[in-house]
Amino acid sequence: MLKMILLSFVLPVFTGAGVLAFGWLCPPLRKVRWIASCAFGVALACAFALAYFGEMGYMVPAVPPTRSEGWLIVLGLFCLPLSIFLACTEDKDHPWVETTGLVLGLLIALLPALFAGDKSVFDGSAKPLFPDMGALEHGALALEIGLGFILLVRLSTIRSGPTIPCALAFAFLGGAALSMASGWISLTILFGVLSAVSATGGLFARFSGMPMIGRGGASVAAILLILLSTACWYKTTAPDDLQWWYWVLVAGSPFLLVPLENRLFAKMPDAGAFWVRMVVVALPVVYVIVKALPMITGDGGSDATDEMDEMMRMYQ
Amino acid sequence: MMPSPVRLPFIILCVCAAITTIASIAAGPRPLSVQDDAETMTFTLDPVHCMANFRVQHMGAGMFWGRFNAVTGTMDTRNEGRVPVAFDVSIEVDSIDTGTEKLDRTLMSPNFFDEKEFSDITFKSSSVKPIADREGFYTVGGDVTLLGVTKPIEAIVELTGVNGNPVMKKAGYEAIFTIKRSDFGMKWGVDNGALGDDVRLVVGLEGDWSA
Repeated sequence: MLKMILLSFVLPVFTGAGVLAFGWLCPPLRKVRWIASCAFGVALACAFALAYFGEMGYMVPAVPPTRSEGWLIVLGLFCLPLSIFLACTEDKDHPWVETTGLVLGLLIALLPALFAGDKSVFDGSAKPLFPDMGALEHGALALEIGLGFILLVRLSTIRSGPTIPCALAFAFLGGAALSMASGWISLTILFGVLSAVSATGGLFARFSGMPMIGRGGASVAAILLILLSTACWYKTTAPDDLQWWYWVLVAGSPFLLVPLENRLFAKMPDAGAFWVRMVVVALPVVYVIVKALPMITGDGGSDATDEMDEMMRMYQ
Repeated sequence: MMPSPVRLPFIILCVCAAITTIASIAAGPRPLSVQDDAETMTFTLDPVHCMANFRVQHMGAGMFWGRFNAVTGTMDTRNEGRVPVAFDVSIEVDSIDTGTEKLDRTLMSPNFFDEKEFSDITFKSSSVKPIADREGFYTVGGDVTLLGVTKPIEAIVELTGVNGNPVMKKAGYEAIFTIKRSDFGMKWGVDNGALGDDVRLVVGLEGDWSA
């Protein structure tokens, strides 16, 4: 049990924290723009990959994957070079960001579907990430990832410091709660690791001259948050009281920071504005956790239990 | 005294029968074969009275039991259900029942049975051989498909009973076998010892036949 916790959680979180410490706290490195810009993204991607491998017993995944969730590690590993590449494009603005976002969204949503399936070059041996999803749903996923990327990248250019990492920590925590309620242990750990690394990022940002998470960090965070939330929703076997829009609330919570970037909040003291922003982001996540709590503790969501209670009442 | 012409064919018939009997005894006991009886009876599994129980070690300590409640399929038999010929069994993953709904959800997740992607576990027999000196016991070979992976297994199957009348019959069998879940790609918890690799299955089958 201890080995499992160490390999799947502690080691990935410490690795992510180590990457962040190099990129944000180490004085010579944090002055290099692209390193500071990709540190958060690389930390998330490294921690995600390590946690995944720790969960799977350090076995090399099949490429293309023969099980649908195998795509998660492929896409997680893809985030690593992507984060570094995008960090080097910080000076490029409109329409680079929008184009990149939409192309990335299409690529990530459609790549597993193109590689897999009966008509692919792999003759059906590979599985798509979402086997029953149609073209319209894959298109919607591409749009979600693209929009998420654009919004978070735009937000990362105007909001520095611990605000975005802390908001992401809340969102990933909500994802962990929903995964636990769904019974998916691996995804719970992955979300938990991402939440812990984001929280560490928030802490480091407080003491490192308020760095920005950068284009590299924003892209990885947006992709992982939307992709993992969709995978959790798609694969859940939880009863219907775990509503689809819980995942929307969780995955959408960091984007609530966007409308808060206005003149009213600009006039507020930094500390006050930070806490107001945190409360706004945390509210939907806390709501979802409270709703999912009975299914996490095992006290709710069972029709059989209700029927049993009814039977017991008959005897009383 | 000479035998009468009427008795002669009868005596010849008796001698032939005796020779045949002696020859068959000299050849040794004949194993109960699937070819023995003429007609194959197909029994449809009764989902209410069929169940697949599984047992796996938890945290290197206790043996944890669970079961699948929805078991469907057919059993081909001879000798009115007493001799199995073939089994075709399908188990619905979402009928998993550990007594704890939270644990059921965990077992249906992608870490284990991945119910959203692989809704059924199937078994198709390819050979049925009676076990010598154990009446009513058979070694049944066949293919189990779990998580989209098909592997050959061998099960010990016991005839537990046959009942009924010429119009309706019931036949019961119990199969016991062990699989390595990692062979099917279900690897979560194997390396860190959270959950054992060997899973023993005890499958109770009851089939119905009607004329």
